Amino acid sequence: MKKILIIDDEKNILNSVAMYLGGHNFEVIKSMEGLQGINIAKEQKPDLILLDLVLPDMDGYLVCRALKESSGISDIPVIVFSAKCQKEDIKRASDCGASDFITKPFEPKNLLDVVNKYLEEK
Amino acid sequence: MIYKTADSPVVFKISEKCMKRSLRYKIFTAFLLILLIFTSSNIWSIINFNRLSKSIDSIMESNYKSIEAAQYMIVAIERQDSAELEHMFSKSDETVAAFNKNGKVFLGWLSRAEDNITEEGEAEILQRINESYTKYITSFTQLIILDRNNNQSELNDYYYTVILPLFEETKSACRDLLALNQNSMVDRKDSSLNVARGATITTAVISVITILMGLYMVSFLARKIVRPLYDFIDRTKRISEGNYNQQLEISGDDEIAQLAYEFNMMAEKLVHYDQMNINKLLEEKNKSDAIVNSIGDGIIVTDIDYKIALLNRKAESIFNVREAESVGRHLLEIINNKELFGMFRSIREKSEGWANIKPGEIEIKVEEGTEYYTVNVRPIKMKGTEDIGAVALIQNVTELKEVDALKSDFISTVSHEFRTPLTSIAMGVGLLQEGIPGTLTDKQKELVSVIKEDSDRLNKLVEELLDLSKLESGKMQMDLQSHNINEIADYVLKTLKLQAEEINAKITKNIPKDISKARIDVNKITWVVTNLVGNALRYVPKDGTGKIDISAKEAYNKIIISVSDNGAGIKDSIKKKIFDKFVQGADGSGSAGLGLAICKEIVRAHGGDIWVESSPGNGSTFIFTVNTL
Repeated sequence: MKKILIIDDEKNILNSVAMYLGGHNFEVIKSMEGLQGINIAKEQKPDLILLDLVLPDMDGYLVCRALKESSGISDIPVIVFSAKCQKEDIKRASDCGASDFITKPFEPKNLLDVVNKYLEEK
Repeated sequence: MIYKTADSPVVFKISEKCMKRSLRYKIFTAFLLILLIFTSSNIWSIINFNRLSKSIDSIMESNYKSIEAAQYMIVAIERQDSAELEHMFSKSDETVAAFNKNGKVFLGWLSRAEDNITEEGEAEILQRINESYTKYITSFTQLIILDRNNNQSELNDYYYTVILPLFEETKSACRDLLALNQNSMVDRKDSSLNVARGATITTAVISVITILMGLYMVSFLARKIVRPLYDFIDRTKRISEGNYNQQLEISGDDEIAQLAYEFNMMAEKLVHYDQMNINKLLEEKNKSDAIVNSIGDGIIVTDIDYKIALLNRKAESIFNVREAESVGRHLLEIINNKELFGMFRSIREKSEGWANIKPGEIEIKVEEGTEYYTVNVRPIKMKGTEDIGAVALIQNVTELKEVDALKSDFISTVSHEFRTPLTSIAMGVGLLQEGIPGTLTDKQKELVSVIKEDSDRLNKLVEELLDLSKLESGKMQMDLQSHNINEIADYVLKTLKLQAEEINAKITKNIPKDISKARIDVNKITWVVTNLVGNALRYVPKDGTGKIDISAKEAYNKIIISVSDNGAGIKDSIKKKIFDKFVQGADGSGSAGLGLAICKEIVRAHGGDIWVESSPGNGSTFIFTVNTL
């Protein structure tokens, strides 16, 4: 069973996405803070990370960069999902090492497709 | 009397005193003077003639009669002498009668001569004649007595010794009288000649004087009348040229002076009226100046050479310049703003079709930050002439901009805030639909799909709002590339094929294959066409007769794309605001009414126009233009 770490401070989104992915046979780990998310990633080494850009403790871009720069977890694909959807946001996320960008709101199916795409690649 | 000031106009009345100085009086006087001189010259001549005739008369009176008398007396005495001699030889009575007859003639002449003693010594001569003649007569009586004695020799002796000397003496006295009078006549003739000569000279002198005086007076009058007239002509000419401030010098108070006075009054009135007109114009100008200066927006007027003609108070404060220092100078020289100048210049370049020129925007740095102004430049047109310049209305839109930015921010923030709950709603719906939390009943599934539909709609609305706000604030960049409209139409046909089939509507394409490429952001224009066709699909009849046509043609470096349908058409009241936000076509089904507003913004961002041609019952045609390369 593939492990997916979701970092998002929006409880409703976090829970619904976790429930949805859990329903599709993924092991889901949830985190509502950036630093905590990084630590969980280091400890549990998920197969994929879903990251929101707006977090209470630190900027999502920074989290992304930190994940990509930490040894052992730098090859885990990070998919940013955010309500921020300007070109510059996408570019910045990509500069920070994010593999893909999903704009909120999204169709649950789309999320599933993207997640599957990266996990299969792996 | 000099009449110069208009403030105290003196009414010019022809008084008796003035009469004396009037021109008529002057002319009359001058002619009278000439007449007087002429008359006196004539009188002088008459006097001279008189003198001459008197002189001749005196010759006649005093000399000629005496001469005549002397001559006749000589003739008479000679005849008496002849009669005497005859008598001596013939002794006839006839000779006595002849003697007596001539004696009477002699005495007659003698008495005439005695009546006409004029010369000195004449009386003595006449005395002598009288005495000797008396003796002569007496001697003749003696002779007759002697004759009776018939002594011829004694008779002869008597004749020669007594009578002949007496005869000679009388005759000689008569000759003296003749001579005296003849000499005197010669003298008189000389004096007459002198009188005549004198008269000739004086008459000539007087004539010359008369002529000179006459000439002088005529020239004086001419000068007096004609010279001011030249001045009049000159001044009148100048007045007719519009130079009203003309004053004539007034000297004297004759008719010319009077005319000059009236002329000056007229000129003053003209100046006054002119001034009044100017004042009126000035008043009007001040009024319009006040209006222009009271306008809360900046106004700059330039001539066709971009020289500033007017700059109102607001414009002064916007650009921190002074109108007084700006007028007549080049726009760039006063306001170093290339964008502003560019807008003025574009007016000149696009003198036709200027109505399409959109207001420009300029930024001006001030202490508190940046101020934004929209600039609306329009050519100034006068009837029947070329443009005479351009006028720019400069409106401060900083606050509007700020409000706009605030609005954009607000919309952006609100949209973002919407997205998060929408995401969880979408997730929830996805979970339910996929039955992850458990299987749903059909009724529940129906409800969930309603939730899904409306959350999708809300989602779309948020997206559109964001797009619109970006478009409106100019944040959305257009990625302009050359594209074939055919491809876009094909894509739209493909995308909406299923939707059209659902209602059995027919979508056709009518675009020339060789149409020029358009310079567009392909995604945005595709969105526009999709939106227009999508809208049309909502309004065409659903009974299988629905028709939609996408067509395009080329004109004036533009591509005109139209989407027409055979739907219900649009009411005029809606047509006007159909491109506004939140306006719905008819029943309001489906769309939130942002689609056309976005279309408008996209087309505008491409430098094109969008409009609709429609009337209820005749379907609608949405038309927009984009530029070719």
